[in-house]
Amino acid sequence: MDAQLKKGLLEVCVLVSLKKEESYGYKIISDISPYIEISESTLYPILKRLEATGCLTTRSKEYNGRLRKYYMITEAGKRKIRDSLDDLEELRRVYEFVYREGR
Amino acid sequence: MTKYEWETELKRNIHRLPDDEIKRVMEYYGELFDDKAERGESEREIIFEFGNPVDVADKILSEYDGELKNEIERGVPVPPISKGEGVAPSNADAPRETVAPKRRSITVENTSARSDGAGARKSSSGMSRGMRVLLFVLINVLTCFAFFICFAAIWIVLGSLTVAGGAMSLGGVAATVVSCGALFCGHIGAGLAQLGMSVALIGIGILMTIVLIKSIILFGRITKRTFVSIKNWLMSNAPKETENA
Repeated sequence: MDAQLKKGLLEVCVLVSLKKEESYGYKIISDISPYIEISESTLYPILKRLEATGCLTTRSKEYNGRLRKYYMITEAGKRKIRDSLDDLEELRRVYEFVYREGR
Repeated sequence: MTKYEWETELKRNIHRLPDDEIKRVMEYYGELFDDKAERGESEREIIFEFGNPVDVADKILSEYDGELKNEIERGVPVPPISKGEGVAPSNADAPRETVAPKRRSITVENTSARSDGAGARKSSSGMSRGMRVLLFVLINVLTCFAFFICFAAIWIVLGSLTVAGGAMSLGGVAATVVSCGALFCGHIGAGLAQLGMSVALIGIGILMTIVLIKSIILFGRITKRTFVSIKNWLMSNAPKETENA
């Protein structure tokens, strides 16, 4: 898949996985990997970027005698999901056209 | 490779980053490691999934450099980590959009130079896809396709040795049966000697087959990785996102 496109899709997938409740690295990967290929080293810059753009915030919480970093979605993150839905709608139309005519 | 070795190697390769960024990276991988271990994965499996620490470091560095360049182009004073943006109001996203394509071209150069660090190819960082394909074909013609022949040869050797191992254990089974026959016919000394050797033969045969099957699995992974990275190097116009496939 085109790298830029994939990056964009991954960002939305991560945000969506945080929509219901806060989550942590391992869980985010397990939650979205059925839908899109993601590795640990791919997730790191995505999380960093989402935090830098204010789409998510973090906090450390104790779990099992160690600290685990939890990620929480912000209003800006939710707005980003909505914007992406519009983009995806457009992408879906393109997909259908290509799928129908291009095979 | 142990967890400690993996972490040390990663740290060594990202040492030029600011301290707090290094700390962040190490905490991220440390936490993932603990989470995976608690779910019953072995140290070896986790290390394998994380991938080569040098590749991981390369990815972190090129992402970091990309972010930094992006900030500089926007004229934002650069903090060590690009936390400075905070919660951006929606219209502040606009300049990011306009800079994005420019940044992309930078990352492409960075990553295509890095995604395949193999010796002579390193010099080909700025090449177009056509040039890379041409170079690839040229190298192969000049070396009489030695690279592919080597891979094929190793596969053939592994395959035939496995068959040999299997044949050895089957031969051992047959010899065991024959030696039992000898025992019952009264040649007790010779029969026992033969029996011992046949059982040993079965053992060696099975051992050999197991070792070879393991090697085949390992070499299968190596082959896959090698060819995938060659393919990506030849085909990609954009930085490759998914390593460690």
